[in-house]
Amino acid sequence: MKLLTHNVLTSKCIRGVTVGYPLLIKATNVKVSEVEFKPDFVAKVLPKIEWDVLANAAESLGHWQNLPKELPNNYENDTDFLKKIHRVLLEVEVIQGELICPESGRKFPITNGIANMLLNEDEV
Amino acid sequence: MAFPQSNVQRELTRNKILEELQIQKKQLLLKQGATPTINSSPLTVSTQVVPNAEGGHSMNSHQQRAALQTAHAQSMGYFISQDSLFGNLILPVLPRFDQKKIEERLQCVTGFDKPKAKLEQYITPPHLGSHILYTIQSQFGDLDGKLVADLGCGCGALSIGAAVLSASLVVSFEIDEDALQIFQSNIEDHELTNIDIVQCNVLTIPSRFYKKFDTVLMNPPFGTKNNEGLDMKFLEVALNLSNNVVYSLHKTSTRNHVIKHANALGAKAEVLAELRYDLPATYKFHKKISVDIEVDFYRFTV
Ligand SMILES: C[S@@+](CC[C@H](N)C(=O)[O-])C[C@H]1O[C@@H](n2cnc3c(N)ncnc32)[C@H](O)[C@@H]1O
Repeated sequence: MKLLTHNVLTSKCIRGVTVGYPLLIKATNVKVSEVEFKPDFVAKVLPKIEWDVLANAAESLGHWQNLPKELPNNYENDTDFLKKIHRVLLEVEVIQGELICPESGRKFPITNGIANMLLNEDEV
Repeated sequence: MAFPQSNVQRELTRNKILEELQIQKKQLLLKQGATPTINSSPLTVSTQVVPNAEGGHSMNSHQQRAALQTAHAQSMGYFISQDSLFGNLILPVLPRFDQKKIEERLQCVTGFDKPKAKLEQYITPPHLGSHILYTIQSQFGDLDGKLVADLGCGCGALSIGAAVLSASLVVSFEIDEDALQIFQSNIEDHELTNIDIVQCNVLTIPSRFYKKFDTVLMNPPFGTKNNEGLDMKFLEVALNLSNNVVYSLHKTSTRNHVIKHANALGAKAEVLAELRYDLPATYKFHKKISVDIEVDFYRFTV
């Protein structure tokens, strides 16, 4: 699971859960794999990202690289900045671990890089 | 071993040989003006521009014209009419190469091990998949640098194609764990890092994902007897997820219904091609060896 995906995943479909966001990450295996860097893409996707959620997630995995606590202005042409964000969004990957619903405590396993968000029938 | 080769590389070499034979065969057929029938080949490509059909060279016989038309219908590549030294009537020109390349890659995607009929698990065949993906990129530029979703990704044929065509990230959704295990090893074989998998029911993808994707791809389950209209439910989800465009396959027999449904959801529907889908008789209730079904390849704009 990449952090771009984590930034939109919720456990809202559990019955009784109202927001289910952000999901807490407990990781036992994290990998960084190289992905082609496209500055335009990163600049375009950034406005849609929940910055705080991204920062907390990356920090908990030890991959925030001292990025600022708030999204700076005029980042479009700051290649260094975009490159770091690219790493956080697309290159850092949780291979083993779990996601935890902040309201119900329900755990979703991450195995072999795949987050399993399936629910049992009695949970929906 | 002295020269370790990845599975994909090995298979590519083998495919290349097969393919060359196929091309030679095709050229022979074209020379005779016959229509080669290839499984899962596009029947008509409605938006196809036929460049230079009348201009430049003299297309003096009906046979020649037919050969050129066939070539254009069978391939996303371009052909020009010219008498070559070898007596060919038409010559392929470059872009065709790209589609072939994708097809080669898709031929190295391992399919379902024990396909589950209930989930309508069958892979998009390489010829069809490469046609679809190549069209999406070459005619519309909707893959390179885009955030792409693949709904009901199965073993990942479409996701892998989109990743090869330089999508920034493909997020692939699938309910079935067995299919995903095969998908994961396909990703490793193809050495791709721009794919992320989420195991879930497509119909309950949370609304936080809405409008996040530039392009949504799917070859959805069409819906079985007890489950009619499942592809329309997938379409509704797909249109919610996309901020721009959805590409999908639906049975030709349901065309009016699909277009109406899309319009009701506020989307514009365009049939890009009619394709013949050669479904292998994977399931017990299929008595014949394979079943041809006709499907439309759609582009929906939200
Ligand atoms: C026709 S297959 C297409 C497979 C793959 N996309 C391809 O093109 O080769 C449909 C896929 O949708 C999956 N599927 C069916 N119902 C689903 C659901 N409700 N949620 C997620 N995936 C589903 C099936 O397991 C199957 O892999």
